[in-house]
Amino acid sequence: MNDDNKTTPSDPLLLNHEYDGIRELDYPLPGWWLTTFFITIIFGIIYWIHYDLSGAGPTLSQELEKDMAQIESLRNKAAADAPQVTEEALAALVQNSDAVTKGQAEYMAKCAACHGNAGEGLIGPNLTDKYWKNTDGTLVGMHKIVVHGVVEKGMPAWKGLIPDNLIKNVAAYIHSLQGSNPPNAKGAEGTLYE
Amino acid sequence: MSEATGGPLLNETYDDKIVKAFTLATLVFGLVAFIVGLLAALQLAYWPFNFNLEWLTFGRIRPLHTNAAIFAFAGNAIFAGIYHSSQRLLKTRMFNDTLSWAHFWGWQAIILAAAISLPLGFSQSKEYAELEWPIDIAITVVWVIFAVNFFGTLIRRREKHMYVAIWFYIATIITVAVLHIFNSLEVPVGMMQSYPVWAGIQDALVQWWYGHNAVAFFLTTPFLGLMYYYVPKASGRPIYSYRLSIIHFWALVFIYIWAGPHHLLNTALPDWAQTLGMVFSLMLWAPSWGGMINGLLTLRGAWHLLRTDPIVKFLITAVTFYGMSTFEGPLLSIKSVSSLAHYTDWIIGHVHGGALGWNGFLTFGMLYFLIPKLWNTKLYSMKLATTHFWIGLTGILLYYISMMASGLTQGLMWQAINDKGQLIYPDFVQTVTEIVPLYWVRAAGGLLFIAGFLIMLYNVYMTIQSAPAEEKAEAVTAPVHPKDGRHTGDGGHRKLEGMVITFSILSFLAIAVGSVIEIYPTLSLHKYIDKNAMVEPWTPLEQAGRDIYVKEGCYVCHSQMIRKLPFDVIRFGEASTIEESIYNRPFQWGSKRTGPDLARVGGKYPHLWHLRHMNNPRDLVEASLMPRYPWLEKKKIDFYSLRRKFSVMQSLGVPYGDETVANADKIAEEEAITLAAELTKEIQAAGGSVPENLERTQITALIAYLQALGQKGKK
Ligand code: HEC
Ligand code: HEC
Repeated sequence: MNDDNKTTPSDPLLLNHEYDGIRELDYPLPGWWLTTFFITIIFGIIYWIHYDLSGAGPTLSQELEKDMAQIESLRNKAAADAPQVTEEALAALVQNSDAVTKGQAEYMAKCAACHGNAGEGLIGPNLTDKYWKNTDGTLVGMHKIVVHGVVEKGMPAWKGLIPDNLIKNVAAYIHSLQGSNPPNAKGAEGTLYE
Repeated sequence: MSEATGGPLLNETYDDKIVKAFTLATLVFGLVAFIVGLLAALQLAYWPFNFNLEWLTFGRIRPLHTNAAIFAFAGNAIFAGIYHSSQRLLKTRMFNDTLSWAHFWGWQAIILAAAISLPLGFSQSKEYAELEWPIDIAITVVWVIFAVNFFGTLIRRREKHMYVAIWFYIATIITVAVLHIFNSLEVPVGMMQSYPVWAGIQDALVQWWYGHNAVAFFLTTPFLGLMYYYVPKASGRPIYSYRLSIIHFWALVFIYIWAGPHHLLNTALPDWAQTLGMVFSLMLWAPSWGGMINGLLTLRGAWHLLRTDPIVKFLITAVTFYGMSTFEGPLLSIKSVSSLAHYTDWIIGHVHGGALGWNGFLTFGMLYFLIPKLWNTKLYSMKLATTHFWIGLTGILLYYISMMASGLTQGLMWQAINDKGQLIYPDFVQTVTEIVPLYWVRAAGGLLFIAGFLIMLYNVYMTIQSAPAEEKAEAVTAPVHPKDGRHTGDGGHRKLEGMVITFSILSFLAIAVGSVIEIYPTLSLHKYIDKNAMVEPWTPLEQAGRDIYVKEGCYVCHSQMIRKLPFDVIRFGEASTIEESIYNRPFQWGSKRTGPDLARVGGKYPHLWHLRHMNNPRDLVEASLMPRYPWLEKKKIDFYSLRRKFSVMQSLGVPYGDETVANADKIAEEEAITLAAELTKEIQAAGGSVPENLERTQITALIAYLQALGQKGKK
């Protein structure tokens, strides 16, 4: 600590006032500092003119629209390229234990909270019986409901939330639960499909 | 060297008792603020650190932490420094001792009221303005007492000119008063509840005009004033550039006030306001660095002190952090940078670089300088102060780096879209799990910062122990009337420095321009509203649920503002509109997404999902770090107050019919019965047991609100 303020250096820029021992020099404003200040001001003015005053630059909404259109076209292209989901292909997955295991892991992570750990039904319906509200018991139907959900009834649409391949695995896993008769199963909902 | 004209000499002692009181309060509340901060940090790393107690949930603890850090710790530090330095810079005792003590005790009482009311959930849920209306009034009164005392001191000063530190104090006192009053215009609807007069976008703009300038005029300008006094005092060196002081002071005061909308970039706020917020933030860079340059270069020719003197170490490191934060701030205000950083921990890191580095270290440096002087002794141990410095600095760096990493990680994960046009990390919780390890690192950083502070407390304790028994008040002898600046031939700014009232009016005008230009147009909202997109106001039960959401402070983790950014829209649904929050008092756009955005969560899940989720989020989302809220299934809905609330809402312009207002409570009761019946059906189908009195418990109102979010605009 050094509060011996009387030893302030003698400097031609030292001003001749003093406050409680504090002296002030009067160095000129640093050039780079002033330049920075002016650049930010000029940038600010140009930016404002470009985006607001003149309307030349896009608004946020216009930019969003453009970005969304681009994403939409990516999605359309992906949908066109995607292989058709067929009953046979899905049935083959049901036989593939690796696929079913993967489907099960995803089911536990994303679906069990609503459909129960064993598919017995909880917030959502029982998935182990032959009664369905929104599908017809086929694998393709099952796949479709998982992809598109029943959003207004609280069953989320999982497209985009779960990768396409995994959705197929999940569908296969659920199919494998058919007739497993877990404890505490929720009562039948919907129509019986044999 | 001061002009010794002006009549007889007067000898007077300084009031250092009040400085001591504020100093001790700073230390006490510093400890509280830091520990509560650590608790909040731990809760994000491991949620059970809320001990499953309502009063300790994150939504209540975070406001307690921010208010304690800003108003209790930094506030008391500012007052200590201002009372100490002003008397000396103005060569006079404070204007009135009674006012000084009223200020001191009034402020401590406010802190106490905050410490009790925030954990109890009395909150307006507007950041750094959470305190409810009776406390808001108390703050106004105490601030006026402070102002009268300070300006009284200025008037009776015995130093003709005001030193730059005093300019900053003046700007602080005036601006904080204006900010606090306008952001706290609210209508009480209960002993400890109120609705702001502003709604939706207006409330958002006024809040962030306030919120940003709380940083500017509570955590920046007063601390710059302290810097201008304590850096030259502690180093014995002259201030580098008087000219720079003038330019950067006025530029800072004029420009800062415009920058608020940078907290609302890419949102529904009209584009022009966002642009102003962004470009003025960029323009702030140089004026801020003006202060840093003046602080750092004051050490010219005495750099060795940085090695040898812990006080100088603290002060100069603080100024360096100020420079870093004020570079980072403008950077974060660029719309595209904000799209990455907003709602993430990067902002939290940014804030703490400023709060711990700038405010914290400047305060520590000041106190190490001040305490031996006040108690008329020597600091017990310079070595311990140096240890404090290094431990504290390590803590800050850990904190800052971990939060920066966390923010970048999460921000980039939110944005990532693959070539199929899908989110790569669609699962929000995955982006949370990823950063939890960094939350532990942050907590470790906080712990180190506290460890350093404990060393300081010990050092201070030992210092005070060694103080001589009898107190010796420092005195000053100065002429009675040296202040008549108009007749001494000063010109330009120098002349202004002798004119308190003119100076204060100019400062006021400097902050008024930006305030009026940004806020006024937003008040005439009709220009921005699309009549075809208008939404229905909340029903009585939904409003009751909303009040619970506000009380629990869910906004600390959840935003309700889907930005005009593709990855926000893909994840959460259509961008939020102005119309959707037009009746929201307070607005709840939020500033941090620890959990997902909730603007459109309505209808996403069945009622039962919410019931179970609020009871224990981990039952549904294993990795969730959201607190449990089981007490919502026990506590009763306050139906009774709804009529009063609705009549206030109606008088504030919400289009409720007289019928609705007169029967608000009954309508809510009926809504609750209907919702409870639906919920009961779902529970029974799932084979669960139905909680008692579902139609009267708060969870039902909250679910009604959650299910209505984003549904109001749908025809
Ligand atoms: C938020 C809770 C929730 C989650 C999570 C959830 N579901 Fe559902 N699910 C429901 C509800 C509710 C229904 C019933 C919709 C109705 O009433 O039509 C449903 C229906 C279904 C159906 C149709 C049942 C029928 O009877 O038609 C299938 C199949 C299904 N879900 C599969 C899944 C899969 C697979 C997952 C995980 C990827 C999943 N669900 C996750 C709530 C959920
Ligand atoms: C500590 C931060 C935190 C607080 C406080 C918090 N939440 Fe959450 N919330 C989360 C996280 C993280 C998630 C994501 C994981 C999950 O669903 O539990 C979440 C998810 C949610 C969801 C599901 C959103 C969705 O789209 O899946 C809702 C609804 C919700 N919270 C409501 C609330 C309400 C109401 C409050 C206040 C009473 C609240 N939260 C307080 C962190 C928080």
